[in-house]
Amino acid sequence: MALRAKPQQSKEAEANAFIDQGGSVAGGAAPAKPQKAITFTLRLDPETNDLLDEELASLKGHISKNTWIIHAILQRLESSGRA
Amino acid sequence: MILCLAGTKGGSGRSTMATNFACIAAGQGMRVLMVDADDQETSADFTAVRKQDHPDAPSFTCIKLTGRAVRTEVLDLAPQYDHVIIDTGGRDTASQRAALSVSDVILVPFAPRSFDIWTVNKVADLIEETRNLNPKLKALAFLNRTDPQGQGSENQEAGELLSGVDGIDFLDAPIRFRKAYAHAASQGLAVTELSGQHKNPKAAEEIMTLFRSCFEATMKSSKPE
Repeated sequence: MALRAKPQQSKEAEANAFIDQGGSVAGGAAPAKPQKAITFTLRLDPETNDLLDEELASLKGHISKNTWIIHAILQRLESSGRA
Repeated sequence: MILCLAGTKGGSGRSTMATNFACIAAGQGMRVLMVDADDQETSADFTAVRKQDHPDAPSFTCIKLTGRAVRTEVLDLAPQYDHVIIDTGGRDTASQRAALSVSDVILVPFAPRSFDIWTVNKVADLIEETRNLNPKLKALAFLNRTDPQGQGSENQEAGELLSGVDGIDFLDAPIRFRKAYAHAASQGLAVTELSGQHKNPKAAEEIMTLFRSCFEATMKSSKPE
């Protein structure tokens, strides 16, 4: 088999290797975007809403209605083995 | 000519010089491409203001590029222009390296302050490394934001230090700290284009001296021996 010279690195490959040694710039590499929360309208009858408000008022510290509902959903999902 | 304003120190005045040079060259009838390769996008913002507020002023094309695209796009576009001016950020980034890999000249501003001057060896190392890939690269340094009175010993000491750096030619064309640059930038103009109360002939003369020195130094080095 005839001998063949080792292939030379192409000019562009050499350039890319040089370029890639540079640090990234702030904001240059797109950071993973935080997943946007899905919003929807939750319809509550007034009685349930009042009960929820009472529950929130009885808790120590401030917990938003949104957070309480999310926790309730997670508890329910946990109990069914999904969370 | 492909000219890259670069360096490894932030706030040394690269964008100010890049935008002024682009305006001056465009004013001389040259076709100028400005490449904003700095994520702060100062040159692009400047160009937007200029085009909006001074639609009849000498114009140039400005594009924003990052990373390897700085090299590939400039190689593609440069033949359509007399001059390409690349504004890079104050860090050793992929964008800056890509710019250096295709440039004829790197122009590095240094303020006569210790923190700025201390970066010169880093810049010299980067230039030396770049020349393995781009042997034609000419490196020029100048003092920016010097004492307006021109009396400070710091100016002289910084000049002497920069003159002694291997691989970088020092241009004795200092740009003094003047409010005219800020006034001009906010209006999308070069200091040479200021009029009325903000007109500053000294600033205009200084930047023209630097502009000519830069081009003369480049032409000198590109002449065959």
